[in-house]
Amino acid sequence: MSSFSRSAQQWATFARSWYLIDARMQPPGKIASMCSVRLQGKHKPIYHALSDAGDHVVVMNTRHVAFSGNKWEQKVYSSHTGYPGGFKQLTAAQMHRKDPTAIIKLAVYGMLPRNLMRRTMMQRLHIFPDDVLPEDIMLNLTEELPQPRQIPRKLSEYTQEERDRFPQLWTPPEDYRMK
Amino acid sequence: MVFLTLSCWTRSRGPDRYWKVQELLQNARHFRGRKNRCYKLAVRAVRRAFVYASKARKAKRRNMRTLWISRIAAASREHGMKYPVLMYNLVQCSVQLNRRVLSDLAITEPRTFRALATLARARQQEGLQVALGDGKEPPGVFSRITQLQ
Amino acid sequence: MAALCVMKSVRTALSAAHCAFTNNNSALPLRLPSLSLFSFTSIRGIRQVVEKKEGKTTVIEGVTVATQVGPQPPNPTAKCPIYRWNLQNKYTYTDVLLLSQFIRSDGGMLPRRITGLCAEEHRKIAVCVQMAHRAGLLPDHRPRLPEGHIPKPRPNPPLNRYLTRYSVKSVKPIYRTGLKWCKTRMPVGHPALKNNVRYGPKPIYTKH
Repeated sequence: MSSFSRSAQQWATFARSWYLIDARMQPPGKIASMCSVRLQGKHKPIYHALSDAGDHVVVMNTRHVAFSGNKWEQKVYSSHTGYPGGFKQLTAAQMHRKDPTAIIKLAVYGMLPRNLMRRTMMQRLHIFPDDVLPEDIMLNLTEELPQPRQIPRKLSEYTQEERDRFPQLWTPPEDYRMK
Repeated sequence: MVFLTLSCWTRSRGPDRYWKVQELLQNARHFRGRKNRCYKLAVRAVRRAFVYASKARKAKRRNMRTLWISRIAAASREHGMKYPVLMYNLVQCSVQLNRRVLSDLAITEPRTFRALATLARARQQEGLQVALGDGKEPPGVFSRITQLQ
Repeated sequence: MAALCVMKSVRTALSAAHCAFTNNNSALPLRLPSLSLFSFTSIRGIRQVVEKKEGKTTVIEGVTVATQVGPQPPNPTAKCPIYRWNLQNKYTYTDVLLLSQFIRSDGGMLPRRITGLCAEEHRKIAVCVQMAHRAGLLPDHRPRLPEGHIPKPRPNPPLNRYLTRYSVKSVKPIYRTGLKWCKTRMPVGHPALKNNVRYGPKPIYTKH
């Protein structure tokens, strides 16, 4: 095959694509593991640690991430400013109120390999607290990734038909007054 | 000492120590600093370098295998399958391609790799049906006749 | 005192409910708009208190809604509804349609003598209901606020959470996690649900 027709293939192989992840009601760790795989390029068969084949990842709605358990209160993010007495500890809820993108960013940063490429890969991660994306990023997007957690439906989101179709498990006694 | 012939000259061209030093320095010529010309420094550096080289020959095999595995994992994820599932079912189908060939196929011949992935998927479905249902595998399938395990 | 009066009137109304229901079938369609006081409608076969206003007179009556005939349970001899439908270990906090049958309109559990649940299943359902409340899956089942009460605007919106075992206010941050081999873990989910049916090879992981 001539090199002329191969060049397009080469470009297509090494072009960076842009992925979109909707983080609404998703656990941050799962979002971060998806991000770190894409940022390193580990989802491509041409992966090599030195070839810098990673893609761009756009995470939106990070304001609405969901932690399981009581992690909003229990999980603690620690940092040190370098000055005496500069040891800061913030719970996940405090951190989230301070900066809605910080939790996802820290989770992804911790999941990337500790090498010189780490900062470069972090620059390809774009986090937005809401679902408003800038126009230039919207134009770049190529694919939306499926959400890792299936969002359970609220009771008010079920239609009346679905509620009626659900079998009635027990019948109350005749003289019971339902509160 | 008289060198009557060329062969006699080549048989004694100086002290052995000189040639020993030169041979070692040849291995250190590309090193940085005084290590590439001073014997005392070079001998340590070369010794260390050879130790590294011995270790690296083993590590290279391991690293290459992890690289192939991560490439196959990426390619099999594209076909909606996890790496262990793909490899297990390919082994069950007696596909004797090693990981190097599989990763090369995934890069250069994606359609071949897709065919392999389809094969593994079919084998997986058969296994699931066997586990769920009547306990019989479909007869006359080539992959099962020549099974190794 | 006012509540007592209401209860008395309700009792008398309940005793007179059958006759009112039999000779006044047209009251049923009118039931829906007048739900100010006892605002709970359900499709279950239960007695409901209905308040009607016609001019000056207020009529409070108890109406029994007919039970719908649904599919029959696979194990009808069992006493516990969960066992009757063979649902042991098969429900979790996301099954709000199931959980909503066992709770009152303010979100609390119905008593066990009424629902007929066995003690174990009652506890599991209570756990699931609690987790569903904390995950915000039962938004309409909240305790009713007193009349004219306007809740204070909250400074921060509530955070999304799921599988929350402890109440939000009772939990303290883990500032010192401890050494690597004896870390303080964060519990996720509830150990009562650890026998739930799983459809994958992974075990349920409750200590993060």
